[in-house]
Amino acid sequence: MYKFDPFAIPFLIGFAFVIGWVIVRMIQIFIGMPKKDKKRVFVNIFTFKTVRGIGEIISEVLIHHRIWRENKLLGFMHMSFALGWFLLIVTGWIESSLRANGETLPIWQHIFYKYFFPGEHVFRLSDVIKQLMDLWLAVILLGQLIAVLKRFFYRRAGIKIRTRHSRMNRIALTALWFIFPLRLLAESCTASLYGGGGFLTGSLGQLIAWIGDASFITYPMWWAYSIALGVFFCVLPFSRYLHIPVEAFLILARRWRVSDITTINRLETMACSACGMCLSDCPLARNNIAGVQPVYFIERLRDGKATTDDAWKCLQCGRCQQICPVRVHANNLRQELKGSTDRVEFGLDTHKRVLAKRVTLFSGCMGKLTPRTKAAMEKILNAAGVEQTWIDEERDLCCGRPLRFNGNQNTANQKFNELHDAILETRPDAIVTTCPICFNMMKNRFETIPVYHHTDYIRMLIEAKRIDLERSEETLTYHDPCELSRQAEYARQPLKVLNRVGTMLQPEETGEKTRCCGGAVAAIGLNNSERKTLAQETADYLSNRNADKIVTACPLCKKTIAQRSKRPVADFAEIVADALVERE
Amino acid sequence: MKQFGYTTLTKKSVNIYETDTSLWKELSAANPEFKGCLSCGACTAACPINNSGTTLNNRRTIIELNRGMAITSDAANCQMCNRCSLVCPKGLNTRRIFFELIRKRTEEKQ
Repeated sequence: MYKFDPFAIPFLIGFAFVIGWVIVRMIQIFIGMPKKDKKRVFVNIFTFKTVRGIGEIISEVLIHHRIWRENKLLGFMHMSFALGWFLLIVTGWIESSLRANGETLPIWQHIFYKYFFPGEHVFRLSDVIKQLMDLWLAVILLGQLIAVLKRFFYRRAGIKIRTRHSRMNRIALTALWFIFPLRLLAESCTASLYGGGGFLTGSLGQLIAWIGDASFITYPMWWAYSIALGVFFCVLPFSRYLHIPVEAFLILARRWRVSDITTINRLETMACSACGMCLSDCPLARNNIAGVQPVYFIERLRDGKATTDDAWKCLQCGRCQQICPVRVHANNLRQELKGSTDRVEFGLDTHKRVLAKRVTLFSGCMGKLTPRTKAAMEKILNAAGVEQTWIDEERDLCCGRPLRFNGNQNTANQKFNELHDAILETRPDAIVTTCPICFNMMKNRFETIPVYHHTDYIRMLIEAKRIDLERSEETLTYHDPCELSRQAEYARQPLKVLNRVGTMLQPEETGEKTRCCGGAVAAIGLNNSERKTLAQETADYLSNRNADKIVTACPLCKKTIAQRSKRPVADFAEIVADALVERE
Repeated sequence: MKQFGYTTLTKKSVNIYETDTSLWKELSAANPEFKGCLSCGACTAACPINNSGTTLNNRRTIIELNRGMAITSDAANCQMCNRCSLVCPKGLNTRRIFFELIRKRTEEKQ
C-alpha cells in the first residue's frame, strides 16, 4: 500500500489547471458585471431560485433532458457520459471514504482508489458499491460505443449533417475516448493480480489472470489512464468540453436573473457544446450556402476570429436557438458582433388582455406591400364593431427593428420613439400590428397599452363571439412565421382558428420548428440567388401537402413565398375575412 | 455662347473618360448581382424613406455609382426595411448598396 505514486501527477496537474482556469474566468466575468446584476446575484443566491437552478443543472448538465426530447439515442449517449461519469465519481468517493473509515484521504487516493487499495475489502455496503461502480462504467462504455458508431453511421443516429470539429476539439475527444477503456483495463489488470472488482472489472480481471500474468502491464495502464485524464483536463478550457463546467454557471446566472447581455453572451460563448444539433435544421447548412451555424460561429468567436459572413449572412430565424440543448442565444451573440442589441423578450405581450373599443393598427414597412391584409383587417374589425385607426396610412413609420438587425442602434431607437409618440397621439386602448417583426419590437414597450399581433387579436374576437366564421371546403397549409412562432411563442393558437375555417394540412416541420421563408430582414449579406434557393425550398416544402392555399401571418413571409410558390399564398386575416358571416 | 432658345443640362452630362468608377468596380466585384440592375426604379417607388421627402434614392445611387458621379443620397437615412428587394423585378438585394456605403464610410473614418 502506497501513499502516493508519480503516475497520479498528470491527472493532478490537469485537474488543478482546469479548476483554476474555470474559477479565474468566472471571477473575471463576475467582476465585469454591472453593479445592478452583482446585487441581484447576492439577493437571489439564498433563495428558491438557486434550488431550481440546481434542479435544472441536474436535468440539463447531467441527464440532458432537452436532447432526450429531440433524439432518444443521442440523449442516452450524452447522459451516459455525463450522468455516468458523475455517478462514477460520487460512488467512487463514497466507496473510498467508507473504506477509509473516518480517515481523510488525499484526492488521488479517491480517484485512483483501486490502485491504492487493490483487492477485496469488506466494509458496510461494499458489495453493492462494488457492483454499482462497474454498472456506471458499463453504462459509460455503452455510451461510448454509441459515440464511436455514430461517427460512422451518423445518419442512423438521426444526424443529417455532421460537424467538422477543430483540432483542439479532436484532441480533447480522443483523450475522452481513451479515459474509460483505459480505466476498465487498469482496474481489470489490478483485479487480475489482487482479486476484487465487480461484474465487469472482476470478470475481466479473472479472464486476464487466466490468459497470463498481467503484472508488467498494470502499472503502465494506470499511467496511461492518468495521462488521458490529464490531457483531457488540460485541453478542456480550449475545446468544446468547456461547456461542462460553464453550463452550470450559465444556468445559475439565468436563474438569478442576471440581465446584463454581455455577461450572458460571454457565458453562452463558453457554454456552447458544439454538439452540432444546430446544423441539421439550419437552412443555410442544408443548402450549403454558408457555414455560419452557431457550432462554427461560436468557435470562431471564442478565438476572436469571427468573419463578416458570421454577422451578415445569418437569417436569424432562431431555429438553432430553439433546438439548442444549452439554449445558447446565437442571435444575441450575432447582434453583439454587428454592434447593436436586439433584445426582444420571448412570448407575447404581458399586459392585461382586453378587447378594446378603440384600436390603433400598424401595418409596418412590409405590411404596406400587402394591402389585402389591411383590407381584410378592416373588414373583420368593422364586423366586430371596433373603432380603428391606421397609424401609417398617410406616412411611413418604422419600428426600427431592421436597423437593429443591421447594426445601427441609435437611428433604430429614434425610429421607434417616433412610432411610439405617433401611436400615443391616437390614444388607443390597444395596438394591433399585422407584422410579427414589428410586434416583437413593440410588445411590452408601451407602458399601459397592450400590443397584439393580428392573429392573436382575431382569435380573441372569435372567442368573445364578436365575429362568426363559416367553414369552407378549402384545404390550407399554415406557415408559421419564425418571429411569431419562435420569438413570440405563438404557434398553436392560429391553427385553432384556421381549423374552424378549413381543413389543415400541416407539414412535418411546423410550429416552433418552422422553416424560415428566406426573406428575413437580418441577412443583408445574402445575395439574390441564395435567397431564391432558400425561398424556393420553403415554398416547395409548403406546397408538398397539396393544400389549396398557403396561409401565413407575416407580410414578409407572404411576399417571399408568393414569389416562389405555384399555390396562392394568403394572410391569416384574408382567410378569416373570407370566412366571415355577416350578422343580421 | 449663342442662345438658341433652349438650354443643355451640363450638370447631367458625364465624360466617361474622366469619371472615377473605382467605387462601383469595387462594390460590383464584391456583389456581382448589382450589375443586373435594370434601373427600373421600383425600389425607389416603394422606398418609405424616399416617399417621406429625403434624397435617398436607390435607383439614382446605382446609376451614380455606375457613372462615377457624386452620390446624392445619404446612405445613413436607409432604414433597411428590405421593401426595395421585395419589389425588385430581379430580386436584387438593393438595400445592400447603402449598407456597403455605410460600411465603407465607417471603415474610412477608422
